[in-house]
This record gives sequence, structure tokens and C-alpha cells, in this order.
Amino acid sequence: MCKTVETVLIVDDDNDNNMITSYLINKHKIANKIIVALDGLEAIQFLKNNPPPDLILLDLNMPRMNGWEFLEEYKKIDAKTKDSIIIIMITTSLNPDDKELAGKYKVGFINKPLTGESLKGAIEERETIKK
Amino acid sequence: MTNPEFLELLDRYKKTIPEKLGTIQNLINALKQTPSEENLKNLRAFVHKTVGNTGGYGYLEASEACRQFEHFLLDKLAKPFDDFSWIDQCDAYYQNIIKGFNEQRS
Repeated sequence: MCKTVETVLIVDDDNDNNMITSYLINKHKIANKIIVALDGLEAIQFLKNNPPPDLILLDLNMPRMNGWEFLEEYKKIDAKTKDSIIIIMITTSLNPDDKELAGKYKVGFINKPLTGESLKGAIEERETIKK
Repeated sequence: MTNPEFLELLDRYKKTIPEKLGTIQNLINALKQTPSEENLKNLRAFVHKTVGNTGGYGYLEASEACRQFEHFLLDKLAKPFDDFSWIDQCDAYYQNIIKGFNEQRS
């Protein structure tokens, strides 16, 4: 069972999703603190100016900077900051190639609708791979 | 998922459904009035977003109806944008989304 992490960064432009994701995180005690960024650009700015979160839940389709563009920018962030961060991509993508591409970026992948179990499962999987 | 916090979230979400349906209707009307790639992309983007949030709040029939509509729109986006005879079919997909929401209520 995955442990409770200190901080999660949700990156999604849909407030309806952000509220239900926050609810699931609290209900399943996945993180103590939740931060929301409304697109990839806001998330990158957060990462540059704040202590790193333990977990990033990343949407794919967003204005200004989408999930893939975020992952490209994320490569430029120093390795020490990224060392302990787990990224899970959460999408409603119809494209089967997206899951494969997520693997190449070494991030987890879950299709919406999100459940507590699917989220915990993806975190555990990434924790195991990172060890 | 029937604890008070979730019910509060669900109640808040329910109040946004007419607005979401209105937005889809307006985007379909915009596409009918001006059949452009931009209008098609705007409609697809909103329907895509609705696939995600409907599912998250347990409206699985509406989510599936949105998913089918998005699939239809993606197919049109992948083709040359010179035949608009399919645009009226959007109305049937829209009605399916309404039906999906109504079925969940009953």
C-alpha cells in the first residue's frame, strides 16, 4: 500500500476534475497538501520557485502548455529537484499511443475517470520502478 | 462514494450540467454557422473535457456519449475540411449526451 506523501501537484485546467481529484486524494490519504496548477506553464513556474512536490498528477489536454509540452520543459529542470518526484499522467485520451509515449517519458498513466484504487496502483507502480 | 463531502461535490456539479450542455449546443451552433477547423477544434476540446469530468462524478452514460462524440469529431478533424454534410449529425450526439445525463438521474 502506498504511503501518504507530503505534497501533490495537480496540473489540470478543469476545476470540476480538480475538485474530484482533491477529494479522492484526501479520502485515500494520498497526500497531506494539494497544490493546483491550471496548465503546464503554471506547473513549471511552480517547480522553479518552490520545494518539489512528491507527486505530480498531470492532465494531457490543456491550453497554453499541454501535458507533453510540460514533460519536455520538465526535462530542463535540474535532476536533484526531479529526483524524488513521481509523475502520473491522467487523461481521457482516445489514442493508444499515448500510453506508450508516457512510458518513454517514464511517467505513470491512468485513464479517467480516476478512482482511489487506480491512483494508488499507479503510484505504487512508479515507486517500484524508481527504486 | 456516498459520503457527505462527495454528495456536496456532486450537488455542486449537478448545478453546472445545464451550463455544460448549453456550451456544447452553442459550440455546435457556431460550427454550423461557420464550419471552420477552429470551431471544430473548440467543440472537440470542450467535449473532451466533458468526457473526463462527467466520468469523475459518476455520470458514466453521459461520459460514454461524450466519448463517442469526441471520437466522431476527431475523425472529422483528421480528414480534409471541405465536406460539411456531417455537421447536422452533431445534433444526434448532443441528444445522446442529454439522454446520458437523464438516465443517470432516474
